[in-house]
Amino acid sequence: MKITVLSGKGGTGKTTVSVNLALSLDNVQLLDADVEEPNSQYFLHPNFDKEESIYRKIPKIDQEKCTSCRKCVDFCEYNALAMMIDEVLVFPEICHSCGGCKLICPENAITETDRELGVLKHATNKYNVDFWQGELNIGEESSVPVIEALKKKADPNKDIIIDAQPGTTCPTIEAVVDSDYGILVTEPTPFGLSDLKLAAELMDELKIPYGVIINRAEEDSNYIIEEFCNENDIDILLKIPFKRKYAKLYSEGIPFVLKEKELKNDLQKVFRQIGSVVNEENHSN
Amino acid sequence: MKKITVISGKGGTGKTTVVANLSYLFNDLVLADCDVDAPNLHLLLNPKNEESKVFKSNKLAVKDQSKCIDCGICYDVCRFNAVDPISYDIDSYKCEGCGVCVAMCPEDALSLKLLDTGMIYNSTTRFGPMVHANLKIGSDNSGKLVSEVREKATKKAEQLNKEVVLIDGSPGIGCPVISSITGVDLVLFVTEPSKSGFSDLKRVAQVIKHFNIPALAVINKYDINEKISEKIEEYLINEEIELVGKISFSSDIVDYLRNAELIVEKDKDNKVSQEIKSIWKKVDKRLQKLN
Amino acid sequence: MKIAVTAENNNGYESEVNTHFGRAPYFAIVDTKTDKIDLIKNEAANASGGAGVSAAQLIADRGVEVLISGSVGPKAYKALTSGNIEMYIINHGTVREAVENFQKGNLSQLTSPNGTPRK
Repeated sequence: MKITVLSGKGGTGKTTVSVNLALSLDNVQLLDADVEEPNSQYFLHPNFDKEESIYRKIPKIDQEKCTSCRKCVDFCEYNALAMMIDEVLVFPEICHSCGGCKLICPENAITETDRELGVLKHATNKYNVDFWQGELNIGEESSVPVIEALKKKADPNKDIIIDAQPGTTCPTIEAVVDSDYGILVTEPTPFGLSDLKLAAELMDELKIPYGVIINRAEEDSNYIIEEFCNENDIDILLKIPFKRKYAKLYSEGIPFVLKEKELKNDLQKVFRQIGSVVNEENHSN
Repeated sequence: MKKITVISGKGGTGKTTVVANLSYLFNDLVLADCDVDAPNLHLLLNPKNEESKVFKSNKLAVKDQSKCIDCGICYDVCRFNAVDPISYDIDSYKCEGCGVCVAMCPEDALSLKLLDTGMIYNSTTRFGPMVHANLKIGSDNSGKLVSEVREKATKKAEQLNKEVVLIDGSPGIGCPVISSITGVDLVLFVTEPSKSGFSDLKRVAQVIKHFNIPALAVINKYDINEKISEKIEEYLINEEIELVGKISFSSDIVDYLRNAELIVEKDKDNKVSQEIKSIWKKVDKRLQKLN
Repeated sequence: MKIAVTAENNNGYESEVNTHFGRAPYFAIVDTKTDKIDLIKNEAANASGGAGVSAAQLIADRGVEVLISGSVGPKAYKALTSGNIEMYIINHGTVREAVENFQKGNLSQLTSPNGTPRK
């Protein structure tokens, strides 16, 4: 089963849920797809043992062959090419690696070179979680190819948990798009509710079943989220209470389940609940 | 007129709460919410919307089915896996609008169209005008909408002769955050003492560094982990980022937030309010000194 | 010689200068031989990316040799340098004042990018 943990905004507890869920299960793989800020590592004390670069293609102009016809410059939608005094300049930072200039060039004057976009890192850890993380290089803009490559590391013999980038833009979609289930993490504040609505809208559009975990839950304010979930028939999978102890553990990078058995049981229950929803979904399709 | 952007790298550090409370203290300013992925400032300031406009900037390939001969060339040339291998339909989430399929289609069945990216709003709050926006779900946040919000707010401030533009910055380390600090006079980091918060601070500070904008920092919830707070303080000194204050961990601030109220306004004597007020004084002083 | 000045509006020599090269609404192109002025709309101002590069292309194609603006980002700087276009700094005033100040030698030349890139 493939479960993606996501949220409309950052800082709601997405990584907390991903890591603690992974640590509550057997035979599990955790993929940190929040490639701009991969934070699961701070809770897993990983020993990184493998690293792979992810490259993208950047055009290279053969000035000998180039006749300055300008077709490539006119074609590029991203303004990544310019023609200055009969010479084509390439701006790799804004190139989207679509390969169009190479196809369009009538003189075959364009070839491509690799540019590192990010890295995938594998780690072992004492918790026995098979862990991969994607990391986008600073200054690069396109997370999607890194996330795509990361997802290829998914082991079909294991349950997969993906920690997605917060938000509802392309990188989040790429992480969640082929998952069996989405866990939406939120908190009982007006911010949490507003962002949860965005994430729920995204999941509805992608037609992926999902449920909600309320993090930093408090008796007298959970209604903010509960009302919305009840009205829209969304399962509330779990409430993780607001405790100073948790905030402290979080800051030190200590997974809560190591200190609280009850939470581990709860997360195992959540996992079984998700399993039955996904099963039902598969049968009805 | 001076522009200041508040950023955090990581989400959930209290950036927007700090912005909202600072706007009460500045009292007369122009606000911009550049967190267009998940805009939240309006939830605290309850702005009155005066004008909304559709914002278009993303291009997407669109197919004219009547001209399509199912040759599959579009599928072969697309590097973004945006063309379905069987139906040759375009997946609008994956299409990057590069135009390769359009150029290669032998039947002119494909074209690039400008699509709605989001909405942009001109509003007023009790502290002054506010420009905010939201991105359509699945749209690419290229930073263009962020630039637009920031520039509209700047224009407003020029027209109305306001001294300060306070910008709630974008999250992450990518293009949107760069767009939200472009051309501003000061950056204020709001960070928290956790391993991940510290790591994200370092990543985003590295991005901001080569723009040569003076930077200040606030450590929110500093007493959750004073050891990490100390490490952050050391880091800030080395990076020449002035620490303008620390805010205590308090459930009061969250309680006010839940009622869409500002702690500095409703509970002036609260420790947290005093801390934020002292931060504001330092930020304001620094703004005055810039010239 | 042709000089380009980034402009806020389309008001001939009296147009206000705009200080952001890539996203300026207009370019005033002044031919110093004839004093003729052309205001062209910066189509790149609305580009979703690479506005600076695109703007550099636009003025290079018009045969401009000198640019007067407030800030030029790193990518535009690279393009303009490759096109042998010299850059000079101004922060306010009208296009007329910008050109006059340039001709009197009052403006300082830009020798490294001073603007933040806007994608």
